[in-house]
Amino acid sequence: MPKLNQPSELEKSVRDAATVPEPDAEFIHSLRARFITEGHASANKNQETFMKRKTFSQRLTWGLAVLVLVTLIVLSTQPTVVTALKRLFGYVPNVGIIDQSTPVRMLTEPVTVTREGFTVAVEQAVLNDEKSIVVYSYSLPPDYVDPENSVSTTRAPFLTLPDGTRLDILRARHVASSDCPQCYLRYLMEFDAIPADISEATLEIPDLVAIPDNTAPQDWKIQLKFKPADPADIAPVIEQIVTPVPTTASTDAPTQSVNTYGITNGLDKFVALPDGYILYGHTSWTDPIIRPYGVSSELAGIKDANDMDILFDYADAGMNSEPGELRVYWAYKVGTDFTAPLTLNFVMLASLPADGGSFTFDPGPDPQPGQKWDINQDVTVNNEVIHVLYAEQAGIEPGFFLFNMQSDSNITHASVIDPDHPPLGGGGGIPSAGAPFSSGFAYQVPIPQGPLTLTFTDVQLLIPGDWTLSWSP
Amino acid sequence: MENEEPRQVEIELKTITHALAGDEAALARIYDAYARPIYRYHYSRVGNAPDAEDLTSQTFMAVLEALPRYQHRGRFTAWMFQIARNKVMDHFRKNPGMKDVTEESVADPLQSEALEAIYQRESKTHLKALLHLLEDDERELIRLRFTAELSFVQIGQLLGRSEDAVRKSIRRILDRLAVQMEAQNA
Repeated sequence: MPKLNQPSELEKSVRDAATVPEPDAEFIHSLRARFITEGHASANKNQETFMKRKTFSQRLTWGLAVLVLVTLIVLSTQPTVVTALKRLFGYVPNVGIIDQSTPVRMLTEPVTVTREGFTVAVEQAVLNDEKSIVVYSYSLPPDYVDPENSVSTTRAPFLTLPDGTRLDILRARHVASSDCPQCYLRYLMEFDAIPADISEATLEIPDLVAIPDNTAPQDWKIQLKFKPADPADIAPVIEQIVTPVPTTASTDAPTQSVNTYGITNGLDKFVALPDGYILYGHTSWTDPIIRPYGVSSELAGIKDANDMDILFDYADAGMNSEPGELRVYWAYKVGTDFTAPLTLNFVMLASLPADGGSFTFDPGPDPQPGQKWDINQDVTVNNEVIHVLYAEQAGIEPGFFLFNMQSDSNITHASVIDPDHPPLGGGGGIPSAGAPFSSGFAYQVPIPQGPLTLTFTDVQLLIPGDWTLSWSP
Repeated sequence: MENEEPRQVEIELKTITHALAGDEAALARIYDAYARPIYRYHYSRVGNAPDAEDLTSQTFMAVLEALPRYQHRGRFTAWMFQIARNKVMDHFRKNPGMKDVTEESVADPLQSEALEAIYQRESKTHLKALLHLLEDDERELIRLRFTAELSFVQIGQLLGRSEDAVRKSIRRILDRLAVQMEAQNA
């Protein structure tokens, strides 16, 4: 029996002894499909608050929609039309876009409660005939420390009305709290509508979200009072008017259309805030060869009328694609320091299935971390040539190989797989036309003996075109 | 001591953000990165495929439910495995008759004549037996390091300990195992 006095040999032996059977492939694949499907559906459910545009259109019959459109065309040069549109939707910070077509109520004032150094702040509530939204945040004592091996069992918050009626939470999500450095977490909750004749409710928070059990006060009860919303507290949402007749309305931003895969990119609406604007738009395509979420429209830069670079930040688009929909939504926030109009320059990336193509690679009997192998094979994939340059065992984990490639076409990335050896995982990729890119995955150890055949599964293309949008507030 | 690179690549905030938005590619990235390691971890606790599959499914469904509450501090792996560990604890709480497979009694290798023959042919069985005899927290370290293949940093984040403390603890366990193996071989 070999002496196990060298750490590397012993570790190999321990790893070998600690090895368990790999999961059944069918189980792994079916759970994967379920995870993706349910994750996608869950995101859609949680984002319903922001699908007011769709809800609005569903309320109108087609005949009424046409009537509205014709009226808009006739009146589009009238400033009162723009004002009327502003009133349908509004924007409330940390809540998002709300429907103002029914009376809106909000908190009379924020409410803050402190217990044992923990502070809960109910920052905002927005009520209409459809739902009640409540946003709260909390902060921890300065000396709070997460205990070891902690368990967090969070009982859901709920509202209690004066008559005892309980409204359970329908949906909830984490909201960004970068504007509140002391906040540990900011949480948005949706409940059923509170009747218009009820102007108060109790928010009951049994457990602070994501705080380990028995480390914070429980069973918070916070009294909330509501009043009709002050219009000054709701920022206007300027909807994009799409009409067959050009107008002179300043909100009219042209939508770019490109024939490639039927991709279009457009600005839908914007919100005016005291410190800037949030621009909302969408990218859609018609060619089903590009799957849902297969197009990524990235804002590369913004210039103003003086050709100055304008800073921007990602914003919550507030909308998600329907299952199977060939459309994605985007949102960006800009400040107020610019000279209109702004020119938004997008880069369009699309992922498509590869139509085949493979190359061979032999790592030899004992591949070492950091080792490189020249491959220098040209592979035709989707009618374009990918130069497979070299492979390296990247050292991230045993068996993880990065394959470095380059293409003179608009292919910016490609994924490979060894169909004969299920991978441990994958990764890698640098999207930039003409520049080298890499793709990799991890073989399960022990690494199989070569020669190995790697097959292309997907390619990412940089879609050419002038993906520029112009906008003025 | 050994390769210091993390065995598990940490998921980026951008991927998490996209997953929260329902991006299927991002959801797939998260799943592909953790499905097998989490399954292996569960199997190492329960010792059979059906329960390991059930726990793995529960873990990933719990991840979907908890993802909106996740606050990114670069500890996504530790967060995922905390959920996995919680599911295992729930499993044993609900099934008190079941035992953690690593707690099953193992015949003393030094006294079992049947095992003696095996040990002469197979050091792996001997080493497995020694692993069974470790303390609970030591077995957990071995599982996380060698079955789930987490890095020292990730194990430290999961267990609330420093990377150095984790590294030293595992080193001590391995040194002890080496001594025990050599004593048996002597």
